[in-house]
Amino acid sequence: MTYITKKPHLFLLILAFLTLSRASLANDSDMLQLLEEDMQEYSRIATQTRQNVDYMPYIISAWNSDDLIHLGISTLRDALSLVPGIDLSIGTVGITTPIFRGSNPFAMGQSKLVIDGVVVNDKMTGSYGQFLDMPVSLIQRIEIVRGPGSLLSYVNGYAGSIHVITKANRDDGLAVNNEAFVELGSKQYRTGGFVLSHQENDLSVSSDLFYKTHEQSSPVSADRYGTSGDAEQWLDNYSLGINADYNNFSIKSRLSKREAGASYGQSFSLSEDDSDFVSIENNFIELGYSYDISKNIKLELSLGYIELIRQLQNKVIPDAAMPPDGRYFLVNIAEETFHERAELQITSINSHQINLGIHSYQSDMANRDARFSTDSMQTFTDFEIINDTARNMYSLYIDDLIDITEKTSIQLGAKYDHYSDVDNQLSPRLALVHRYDNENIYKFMYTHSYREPSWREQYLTMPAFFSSTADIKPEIVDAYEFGYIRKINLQDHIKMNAYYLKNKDQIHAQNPTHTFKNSGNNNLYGYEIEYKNEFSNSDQFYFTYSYVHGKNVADVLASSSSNLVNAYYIHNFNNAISISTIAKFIDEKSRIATDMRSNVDSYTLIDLTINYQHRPGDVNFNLSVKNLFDEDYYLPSPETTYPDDYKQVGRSILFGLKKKF
Amino acid sequence: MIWSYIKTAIITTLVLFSCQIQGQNYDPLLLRAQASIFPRIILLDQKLSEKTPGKELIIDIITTNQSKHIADELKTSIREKYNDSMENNKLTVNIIEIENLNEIPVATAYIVIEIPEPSFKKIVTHASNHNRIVFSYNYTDFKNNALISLLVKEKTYIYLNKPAIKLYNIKFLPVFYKIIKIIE
Repeated sequence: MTYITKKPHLFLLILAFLTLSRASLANDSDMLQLLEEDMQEYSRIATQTRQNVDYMPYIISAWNSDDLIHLGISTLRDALSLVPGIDLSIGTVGITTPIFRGSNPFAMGQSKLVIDGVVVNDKMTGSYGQFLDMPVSLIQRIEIVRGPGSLLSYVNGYAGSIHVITKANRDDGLAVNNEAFVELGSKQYRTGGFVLSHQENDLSVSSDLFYKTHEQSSPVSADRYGTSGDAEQWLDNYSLGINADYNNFSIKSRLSKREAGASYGQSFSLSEDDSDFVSIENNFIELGYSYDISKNIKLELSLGYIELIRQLQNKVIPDAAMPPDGRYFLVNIAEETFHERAELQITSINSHQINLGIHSYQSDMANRDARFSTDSMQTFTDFEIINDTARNMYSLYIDDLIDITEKTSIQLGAKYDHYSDVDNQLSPRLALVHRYDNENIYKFMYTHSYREPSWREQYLTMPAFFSSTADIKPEIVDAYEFGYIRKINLQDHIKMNAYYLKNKDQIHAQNPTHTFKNSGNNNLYGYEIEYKNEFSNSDQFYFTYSYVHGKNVADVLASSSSNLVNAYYIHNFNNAISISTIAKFIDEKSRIATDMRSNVDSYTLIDLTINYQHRPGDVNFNLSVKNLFDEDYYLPSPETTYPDDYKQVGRSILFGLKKKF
Repeated sequence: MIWSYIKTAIITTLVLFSCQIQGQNYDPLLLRAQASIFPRIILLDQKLSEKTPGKELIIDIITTNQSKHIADELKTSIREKYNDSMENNKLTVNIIEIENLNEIPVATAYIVIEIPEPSFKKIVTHASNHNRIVFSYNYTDFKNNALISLLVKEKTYIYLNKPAIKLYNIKFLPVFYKIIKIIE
């Protein structure tokens, strides 16, 4: 005290120095904190939007809609056909099913479709075909996982999973743009839609809508009764999505309806009645809540409801085969699913990113009405199409992404699922990624997964072309994958991955009694190569080759192609005009052993697109010719159904216009 | 048999194509991250006040005519993020096309996007003579003596080019060295 009294100037000087030093340190610390926050934010966005996926322990393909539109890709279905290892097949009533890596094409629901985090496969058939006409113009990003597992800890894919992030729900930290689009094409193809958003203070609302219609049909030389004609595939399809966010709360909802011609029929015969149809409504709503318990622990809660209504009118037996009036089959079923999820995302432990959650759903049929008529729908025989469908599932999952070193990360995961009506399942996962340097990345993955039987495979009560088995077991897969990525530069790459899939208890009905049942074990192996390069600002080249070998059904690789090639080339004449071509080669497909028909022929499809982008006006024009050389090509039909397989549409023209506001 | 020929052709094609790499690419997320992070790094220069005459912090984005759209995007992102001011300095962002560049202006810092090697070296010589930072959009431009770059991998990394540090003679606040990755 005495010293301070004696040397007041010195004291003040020291005080000022200390104050300034502390202020400077605080300022430095603030700047460092802001910098670190920015770095964490972009790491988070990159992980969430899979833009850093090359460095992460997954093998996926990701597509942005702008890139797809540039290539003249119009629908989710078209986009999937570009992905290595994916081929498309046709099921009953003409519903498209993607086949991943040749895995059991006769099963129902081997892959999953997840739209904005909601699994939309129905429980009856495991299908999501009603969403494949979704316009790419509504989609921000498509992420495709080939092989079991999923990008979401609570979703168990079997052969693969498709994740769609809509523009109305974009998750890259940027505002939702307002957009509108129209498409016109051959066969009276018409589509229109928009994405709209509005933000006011803490409330943001976004919506998307599309309506699509066409009058397509495919010529058929003979169905299983020897009848020739056209498979009517006309379409009326709409979907309306509405989303809202307010502080920590969110709502996601979507109403969809797809009504179409009966196509190849419920029982693989052409209908004599032009008014026949199949209609699928799929509506869902999900409420979400997220809360930051601390800086490094986040809680997410969600509660959802999904409704699926399927209606069918189909003359399944013609007059000549069942005199005098043939037979009609009518269905009016509805399924309901409630689902709940709670998840903790923990990053508070150094070098660990942990997801820990519980997930459950309760599904059942709300309506299971079906009827036959043998007098041109004057009188009906009513019955329930299915019984004992209640399925409750409770799941506990955990996964931990551990950075062992700066170059090496490992992901450990496990999911335990308890079912009310099928065997409980434990699904472990191990993934390792080694980033040797920025250009060379190595990955290894082991995943165990399963597919619970669809209700159609398990519970059908009525006599049908394919019947069911009540005590059927889930299909099981053990997948081993090795991947190598060579980054050529920031955008371009060569990706190679090899896989071995041990499939157990495969479910199909390719047997003499046409009954869905567990039909033994089949192993598949193969590899995929993906190459992308921009040679200059003017030219971009993309190429994939997929090879699969082994067995998927009864000791053969049936209805699947061993060799798939996709490629595209884009040439930009200038900043506004580009021309692109897509080429797809699908090699021949074998049959099951008892099917004496020759293999399904290989085919090559070429598409050509001219794109004009008026940047100042944010307007994009697109003119595409699909199947430019009008190639005749066929997708395989099951044995004893359509002897000449399913002929696909020939050349078509599509014009698209998109405008951002 | 035919497939073995096709496979050979594919592999040959891959090898041929991989020898012709010149890519001028554009990663929107990387660009957004750089727009956000590069200006913050400028503030960590201990002698920043000497490089902001009239309290004006000038960032010159140098690019080619072909890559100008990338520079436009970067400039827009910087302006959206910082709204024309940083730490009491007026923030000015200029785009300079290398084809139109006669004399390199003195700025507070430079961000260089995909320009030819001889031009890059001229920028580096000019910047280092004035002790100004040269950021590069592409980290591979460290071979041209860019000082700092950024890459978004499993995490976001700020790269500092160690061989170039002496050339620039720029002292950053000590906290900066805690979060960067020094590239030898």
